[in-house]
Amino acid sequence: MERNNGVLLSDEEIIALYFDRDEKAITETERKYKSYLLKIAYNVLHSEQDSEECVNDTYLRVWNTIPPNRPKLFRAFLAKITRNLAFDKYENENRKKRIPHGSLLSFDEIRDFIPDSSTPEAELEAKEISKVINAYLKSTSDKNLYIFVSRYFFAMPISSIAERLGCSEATVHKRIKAIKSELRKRFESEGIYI
Amino acid sequence: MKKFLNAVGQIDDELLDRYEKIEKMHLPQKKNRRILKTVAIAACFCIIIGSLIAVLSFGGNTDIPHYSNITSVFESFEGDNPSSRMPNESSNVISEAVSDPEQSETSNTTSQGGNTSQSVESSLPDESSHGDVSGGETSVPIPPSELNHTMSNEPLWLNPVLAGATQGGSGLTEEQAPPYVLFGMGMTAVGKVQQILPDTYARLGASTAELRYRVIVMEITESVYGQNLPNEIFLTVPSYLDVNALLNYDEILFAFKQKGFENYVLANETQKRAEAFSMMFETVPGYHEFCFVPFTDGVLDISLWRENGWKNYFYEEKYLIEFFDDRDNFLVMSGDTLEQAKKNVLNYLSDMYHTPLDRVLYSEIFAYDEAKEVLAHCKPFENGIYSQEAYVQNGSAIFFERYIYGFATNEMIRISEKDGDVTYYSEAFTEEEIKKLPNIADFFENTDIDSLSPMHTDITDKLTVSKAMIAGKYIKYGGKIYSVARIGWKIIDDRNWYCNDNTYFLISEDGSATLIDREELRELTGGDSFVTSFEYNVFQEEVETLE
Repeated sequence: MERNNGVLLSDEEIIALYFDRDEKAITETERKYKSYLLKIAYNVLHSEQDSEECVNDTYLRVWNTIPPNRPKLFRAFLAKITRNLAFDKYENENRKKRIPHGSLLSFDEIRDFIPDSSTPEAELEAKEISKVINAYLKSTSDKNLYIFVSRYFFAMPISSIAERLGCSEATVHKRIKAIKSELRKRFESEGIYI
Repeated sequence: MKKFLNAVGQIDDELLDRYEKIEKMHLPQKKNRRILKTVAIAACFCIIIGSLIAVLSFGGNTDIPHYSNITSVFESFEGDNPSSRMPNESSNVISEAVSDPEQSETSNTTSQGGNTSQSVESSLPDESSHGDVSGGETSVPIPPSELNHTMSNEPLWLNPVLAGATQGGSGLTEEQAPPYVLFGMGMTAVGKVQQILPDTYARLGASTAELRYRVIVMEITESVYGQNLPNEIFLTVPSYLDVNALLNYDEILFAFKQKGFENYVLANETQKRAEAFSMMFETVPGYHEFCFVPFTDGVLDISLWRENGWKNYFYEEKYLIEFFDDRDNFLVMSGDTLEQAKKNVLNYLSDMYHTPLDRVLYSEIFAYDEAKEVLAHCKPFENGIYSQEAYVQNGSAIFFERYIYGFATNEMIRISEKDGDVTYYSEAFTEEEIKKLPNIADFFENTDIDSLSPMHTDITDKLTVSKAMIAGKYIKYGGKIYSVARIGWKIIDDRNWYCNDNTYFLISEDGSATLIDREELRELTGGDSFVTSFEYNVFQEEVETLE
């Protein structure tokens, strides 16, 4: 049984457990972040069981990553691992046609961000694309950041984003269009094509 | 698309942090106070009982055992003295389980010589097959009052750099040497395997990522480090290790840490039931396969790590030779005698550690009046038991978690070792209330589950429905106890997409059951996490397009 003593360990304490190779690290991570991570995975996978598996995979990934990594923001660190595992899983499942098309994001939706190019030399690694995205997000408004991360990091439905922001879906769509436009310009100026 | 998604997946942590802050700013505006209050209470309960619920949580994967479905029978415990409550048999098996996720059959309960007797599911093994699991002939119950250990729960083995490679049974490649470990500090003894219990166990609430265990009864012939150790202990060993290999040795220097005191409850995955053990110990997390150092004719025998399948791989001979040829790698090395090894251990411990480390001392905890009251309160009762667990992290503590008829409850008590502080994490179940509670197992026994259908999913011809699990829990909230039975479903459509659904029943004192809506039940139970918060009907979810 897990220790539901009501006292959640701090992130630093949990990370220390990982460094100590103490399996309670996983238990404490699960206790503190399971529901949060499940939500992230579920947004992508739309399956309770797959989400559970994804979150369990997250724990193992974290176990194998810390040490040597010592994340500054543990919650974000976990979120990223879960989110990326979920997308990987989504892709695998989608290949097997087990997940409805459109439950995540459409290819067209993504393509709008990045100009088409058939030149292979123009392809950059995801890290370089990420640099552009990071730079943009750092400079953009809170609302744009919220919309972008909600939609493309956490794969939240437009309706949910609108609800949380207290605006209409049309407004969110407009914002996304503006974000796309801005990002597209930045990608072009950096010579990023896909 | 993948490249873009990968790129988004690498956005800075600081941006995610900023995102969270923005979300916190916006969310409260969308929620009314009542909902917030409910959520807060739910969150509180989740914290308190999260893992217990995980036992009962709906995984939907029929390949993954769940032991939420536990019914039980309890010995009648007499007397207030803890030691008198720990006779060999009475601390034995406390429950039997209900559900095989596939068969989803029902079960009854039986007593083991106690005065609570109910029917027994015919498919379950009889009690004699497991009756001596804890405190049987091979075990020596240790009265808590006699425990006056100097027991450390710190790992005995150091050098964590490669320790991760030893987890989970992953094989070693030629480039990977065996993990280099050292004796650290903690309990160490010489002994031999007395008995290996046939079943596989898990912590209650274990996730699929967590270890499964075998339980061995280890005879302690000599205590190397740790005072007043019992002559025999129950010891969990990860199931990926072949515990039978340990039978080949009559002298084993082994390291271990305390897991639980009396009535430590594990889930028996093989037989789908809960079992209580007195004085449960475990091998040191992260270093399990190096917790046993066997000796043959008084000399170190490295064959355990060779080809006998101790792990699911064996170390290549060259690594073994190198590894045991250097005392820097391990406190024992080839050619060492047992006597030499014991000296090494003691020298190492005294050199390395000069101050007491975290440990749980039963006698110290219960030196405090308030804690004594808990002990008196938490005695086993007619139809239930408290599972006790030692826990060391940021201060030692002991926990009591109540089970009734083998089903989890949301009642938990924590006692801090440092100051004896007692924290109650839910409303206490009173004796009167417990007596009136229906046995959830009876509901499963008397209900034709096959005739039921998922509550939240419209079942069409294209969907195949199968039962994934059955589970139960007693939840006390707002002064009332809710006896909840839960049936989990896995629903697959003709495209092989699937989702999970749950059906809930509230069982009244007279045993009658009422179907109840998930949301209503969540409201009643203060958002107890046993009642899932997932949405259903993914098949009918509209495909969302942005443009």
